[in-house]
This record gives sequence, structure tokens and C-alpha cells, in this order.
Amino acid sequence: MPAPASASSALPLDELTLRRAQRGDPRAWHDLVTRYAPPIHALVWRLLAGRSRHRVPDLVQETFVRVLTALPGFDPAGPASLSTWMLTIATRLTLNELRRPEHAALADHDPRGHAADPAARADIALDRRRLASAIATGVAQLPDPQRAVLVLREYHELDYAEIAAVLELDLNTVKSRLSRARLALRAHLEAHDVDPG
Amino acid sequence: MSTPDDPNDPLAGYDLAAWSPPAPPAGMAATVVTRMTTQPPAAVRVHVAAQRQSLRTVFAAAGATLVASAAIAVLVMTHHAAPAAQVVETGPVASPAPLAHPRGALPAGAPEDDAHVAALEKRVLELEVAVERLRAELQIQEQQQQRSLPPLAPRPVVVEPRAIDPFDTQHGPSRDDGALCDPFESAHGCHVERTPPPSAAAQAPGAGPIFPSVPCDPFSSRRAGCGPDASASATGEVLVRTKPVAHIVIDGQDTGKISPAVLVLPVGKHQVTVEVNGDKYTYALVIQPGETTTFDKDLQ
Repeated sequence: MPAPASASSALPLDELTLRRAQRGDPRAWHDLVTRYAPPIHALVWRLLAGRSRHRVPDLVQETFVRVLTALPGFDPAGPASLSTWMLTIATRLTLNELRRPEHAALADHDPRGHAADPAARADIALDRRRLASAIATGVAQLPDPQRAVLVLREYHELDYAEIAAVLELDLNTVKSRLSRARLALRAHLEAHDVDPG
Repeated sequence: MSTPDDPNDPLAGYDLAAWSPPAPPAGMAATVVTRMTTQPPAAVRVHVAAQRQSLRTVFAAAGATLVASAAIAVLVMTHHAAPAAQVVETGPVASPAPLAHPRGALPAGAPEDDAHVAALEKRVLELEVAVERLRAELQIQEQQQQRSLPPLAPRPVVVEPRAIDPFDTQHGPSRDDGALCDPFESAHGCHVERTPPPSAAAQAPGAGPIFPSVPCDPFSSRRAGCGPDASASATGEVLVRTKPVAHIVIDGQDTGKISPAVLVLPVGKHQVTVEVNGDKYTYALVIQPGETTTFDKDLQ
């Protein structure tokens, strides 16, 4: 199984850049955003699961604005790593967006994502595209709380305790939600007769 | 993607990474840095917006309070205004100058905000001073009006029916010298006890009347304190006219009056006797409270 597109798999921001960013250096800000934009964008994109896709760049921008605003108060020696702290901000921002009543009406789209840009994904094998489409529709059908737990665990490799901290849940709730999300997604994939890949 | 945390992952074997997002839009970092350097962050903007809303609320409340205070002051002054000679000039009071910006239309720029807030604060201070000045002047006016008011009118005199019963010689009104009053003795007159004022001494159990007795001819309505106004509910008048003139006797008592005469009598039935040349003519008479009854007889 390929490694997920997660922030934790990449090198963390070096300490000097972080210090400069905390002091308000725009170049350090630029480096920080460049470094963490892919995982934050991926998280927001997956949590929205195809709904209001046009809001993804806005939410990513807003996440970084909040991160940079609160960055002087971030303690690198604290309980959360910088990436987890940023994922926390992005997750809560996106879940708040999903709670907006008008959000349901903006369910545009094709949750598979790949189908939106077939030319760019032409190199993806047909089976993998079918798998991706099935996963996308399966994840999109999950309730928002279960989807958040699944995405943080499966795609960003947060452990249970970190997920519990991000979502402000107790550990058992995280476990039960993750279990239900996995079972539901597996049932969805089996129903679509998708090859595990 | 099974991990030690979840050894029995039902999704084990599935390549979940197949569902991969597109790359973030280009220029994301530059956009964020531009936002951070050219405008205050969202949290700050929210704070500023909240401050503006709070200021609008405060100024609106202050304005409403000021208008209400001014309206009350004008009403009170109008209500307490004495005759024109007693009206006191309130003096020039600074009328509120128009605001630099209409309420609810705050300028957008931060420096203008500060200047506008400062201007509004100055205006609020001026208005508060004006309100305090109005209050002080109102108090002065009230004090002046209290000093210039005429003394309170005396309380209405209530005459006890028995006190002016001129025919009750045993319990009737007393004279100054303490002797029983002869209502027909015009040289002394009679004394009428009046209801005491509501003072502590008067309200004490067993306390007697504290008002001095006033000489009174119970049969003369022209005497102060004895007319029908003073005892309208207990007495009435009778106008006795005869031809020729006659000596008037009421209920067997000589009144010392000669017709025509107006007599004040207790309410009820009476006997009027007129004597002409030694002849006596007696008639029944009913006195109604507060009314004047005409007793007119031609005895020729």
C-alpha cells in the first residue's frame, strides 16, 4: 500500500524558519505555507468530500492566516507538533464549514475528484480509478464526525490520542467512530465489488 | 494501512491512497503572505467589527438616554411652571451639534475610526455635561417655586351637627368664657368646634380640638365659619319673610330676629312661629341640607 499523502511523512519545518515565522518574517511565512500547504489542502479537500469544492482554497487560506496569526504563541516544545497543531486548526475550520446550514445545498459534484479532471488523471490505471471513485463516494457518505476521524487516522496518521485532542473527544469515542467508519467504508467498497488494489 | 493501534483494521488491504487530492493551487503561499501583510487577520477584523458594533450600541443608548432625560426635564418644567412672572430663564444650553458621521455609518479606515471615536466620546461628554446642567437648573427652579408659592389654603372646616345645634342648651357649643352658648345671644355668639388638623397631638388618643373657637351666630349665614358652606351637609337656610314684619321664633325659642331674615338651622323638621302684634302663627318647616328654604307668609 502506498504511503498516504500526509504531513507527517515529510520533513518538519526547521527550527530557525519556525522562529523567524514566529517573529513575523514574511519569507519564513512563505516557506511555512509552501511546506504545509499540500497536507492542509488534502485534509480540507477530503473532509469536504466533494461538497463545496470551490471553498477548499478559501479554507486553506483561512487556515494559514489563523496559523500565522497564532504562531507567536505556539510552543514547539508543547504537547502538539506543529503539523498536528495546524491539522487541528484546519479540521475544526472545515467541520465548522460543514455545519453551516447552507452547506448541504452546495453539494455540487462528484465526490470522486478524479472524474473532475480526467485528462490530468489519464495515467491512473482503470482499477485504481475505480477504487478511488469508490473510496470517494464511500467516504462522502460517512457522517462528518466519522469522516473526520477516518481521514485523520488513515491519511494523516494521527494516533488515537492525537485525534481525540484534535476533535476534543475522549479516546473511546474516537475508537468507536473509527471502527464504524471503517466498517461502513469496507461495506461500501465490497458492495461496489472493488479490487483492494 | 494497518497499524499497531488497530490490528484488526477492516480496510487492511485496500489502497486508500488511491483517493488522492489534487495539488494545492499555485500561489497559495504568496496569497497568504499578502493577506497577512496587507490587511489585519480575520480575528482582528472580527474584533474591530465587534468594537464598532459595541460603539454604535453605546452611543445609541447614550443618545436615547439623553433625549429621554431632556424630554422629562421639559415636561417637569412645564408641569411645575408657575405664572409667567415666576418662569426662570434656564440660560443657554449647548444644543447637540450634528455628529460628524451619522450614527451607523462609521468610516472604514482605521485612522478615521480613531478620530471618529474620539469625536463621539467628546460629544457624549458634552451631552452629559448639558444634562447635568439641566438637572441643576431644574432643581433651582423647583426650590424657587416652592418659596414663591402662597401658603396652603386652610383645611375645610367641618362643623359637627351637634356643635351648632342652637337649641341643645345642654350639649351645645360653648362660649369663650366656658359657659353654655345661647345661640340667640348675639353679644357672645357661640363657639364651634372644628375638626383638628392631622397633627401628632391631634391624632393622639383623647386629644381635643386645637383650633380656637370662632364666635358664631348660628342663624346668620354671613358669619364666617357658620354659613352653609361650613356645614353644608348638616344645616340649611331659611328665608323668613312676612307681611307685616314679625318676630321670629324657632321651635319655641325666640331668635331675636325680625323678618325678613335668613336663619341657619339644622337639617330636619322645625316649627317656625312668627309673632305680629301679640299674635303667634306657627308653621312646620323642613330644612334640607345645604339648601335655602323660603318661608313667606302674608299675615295681613
